[in-house]
Amino acid sequence: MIRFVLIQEYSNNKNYKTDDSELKGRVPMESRALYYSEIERINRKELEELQLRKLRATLQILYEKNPYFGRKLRQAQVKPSDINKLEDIAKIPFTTKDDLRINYPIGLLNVGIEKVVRFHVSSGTTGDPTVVAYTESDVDKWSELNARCLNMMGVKRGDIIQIAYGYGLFTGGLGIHYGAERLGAAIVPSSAGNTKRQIKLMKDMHATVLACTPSYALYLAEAAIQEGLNPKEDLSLRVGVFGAEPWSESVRKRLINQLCPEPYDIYGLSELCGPGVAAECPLKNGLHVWADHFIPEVIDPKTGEVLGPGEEGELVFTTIDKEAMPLLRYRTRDVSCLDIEPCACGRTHPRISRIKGRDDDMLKIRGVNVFPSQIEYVLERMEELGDQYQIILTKSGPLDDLKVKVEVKSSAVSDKPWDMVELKKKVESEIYSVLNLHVEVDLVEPGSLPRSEGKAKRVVDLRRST
Amino acid sequence: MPVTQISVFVENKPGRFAEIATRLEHVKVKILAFCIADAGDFGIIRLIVNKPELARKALEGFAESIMQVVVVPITEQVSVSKIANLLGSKKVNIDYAYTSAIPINGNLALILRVNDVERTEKILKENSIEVLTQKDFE
Repeated sequence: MIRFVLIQEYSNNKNYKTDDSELKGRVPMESRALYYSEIERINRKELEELQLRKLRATLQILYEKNPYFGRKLRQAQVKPSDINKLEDIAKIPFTTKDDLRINYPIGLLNVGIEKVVRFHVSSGTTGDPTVVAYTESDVDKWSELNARCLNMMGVKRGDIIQIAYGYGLFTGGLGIHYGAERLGAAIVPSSAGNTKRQIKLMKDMHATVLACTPSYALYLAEAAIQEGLNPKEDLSLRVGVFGAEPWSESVRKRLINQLCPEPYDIYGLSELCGPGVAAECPLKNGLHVWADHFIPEVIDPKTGEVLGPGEEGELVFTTIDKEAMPLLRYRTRDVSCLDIEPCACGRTHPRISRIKGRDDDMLKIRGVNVFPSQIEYVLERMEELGDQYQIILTKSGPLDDLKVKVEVKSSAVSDKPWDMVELKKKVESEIYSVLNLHVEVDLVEPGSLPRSEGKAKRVVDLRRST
Repeated sequence: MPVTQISVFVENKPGRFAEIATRLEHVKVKILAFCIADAGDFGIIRLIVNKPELARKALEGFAESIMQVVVVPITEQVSVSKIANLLGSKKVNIDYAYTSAIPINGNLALILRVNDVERTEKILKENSIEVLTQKDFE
């Protein structure tokens, strides 16, 4: 069971040396007496020893019992006894989405099926679906991690949390649900969709916490305003638990202005467990990774070389406390960097910077890093637009430029072209709010963009031919 | 009884209007009036046809929507000026207007896009000005 201990003063935290005056300016008052589970403030040296012990244990089991990982480790000539310090993790071969695909659906299962209590299946946004299995202990620990995240955001007993992540195969809904239940918050399990009902429930139930994707949160705010509500006055939301897609600081500002004063980023991926791998503390200066369960690394996606703190690269996780499907050095394709400095909130677990997108898709436009996924999230949210879009890279003078072509739906068509120009401007301003970059948007006819079987070709590079 | 106007979203490039006209011709739908309003890279083609439902089916795949407009035959007695002055005096704003491409029941007609279709038709009828309905096109 999780045990939260009331920490009255940050200065009590022996593991973090700071003078109190510095903290007073930086830590919001309401978060100055928060509950922690003891493990969150574990001494860094003890944490590393714990990680090494758990890593070796995980490796031992996989080496001996898992045919696939056992073979992989032998091929790479890595024995559990070769891992004598944490840095030795670099000797272990990476696991990729392809490994999961080859073993679809449950080839990587590391326990007998009689020990499995749950499956989740990832949506497969980047290819085939992936099946993830959980033992009772896995579900228990996953619940604890989510309880830690929610607690860190100031969610507590007495809060009413509306969970508008999808419930079902997707890990979002049930993951947060189990965490909130563990914490003792009152759950409204509204699941995703049915926006009108979501708004009515939030209002009538006086929900104080909303958990959903940030794009859905923006949409809920807009829809509430359209219904004549002022979300900041007519709703009681205090905390937002927003994840499952990358979002930016400008989206955070919009959410603060329109919906709730404390929007937090939460990170996870179904391959590791789902939400709850990492989350922001009240300082919102990166997301704490629960390092007693996961060892995070950042690597150069091209060479596989481990990068130092502060260097941007691909996030890699090793699960060190999982039974059903442990993963060694799983490549997430998410771009981030690692911060191992102790956090002023008192937690010793390392932080990752907020995820920007997928590494292999990154574009550099006028000095701004742009991920097509960010544009996709904007377009997906707008009901007037179809599913098909294209990002076209061009050169304007010496600089790279991009524009977006997106198909419109019948519901968007007005007899007045001016309304359509307004729609175009709206899409452009939504993209601007996420990227901080003005991107020209072309509205095109349905069916006019090329379709492809499998993964759509979203990015068209015209830089050479122009 | 107002008349249905179909608004079709098209990209501003050659052949798009031809595509629409051809599709309608194939299902023997007659275009009675049309007007193209452009906005740079795209435009809206507004159509009045004899069989709107059939036309919409033929235009499947296009992004399109419908709305109601007021259609008034232009005659010796009822000039464009008379219609415009009457509506102006009653504070009815005409967002846009165009005329039919072919005579309808012997006369060219004025197609009016107004905010309040019902009120506009009432004003016209009270002043003994004929207003066409979708049935007049069949």
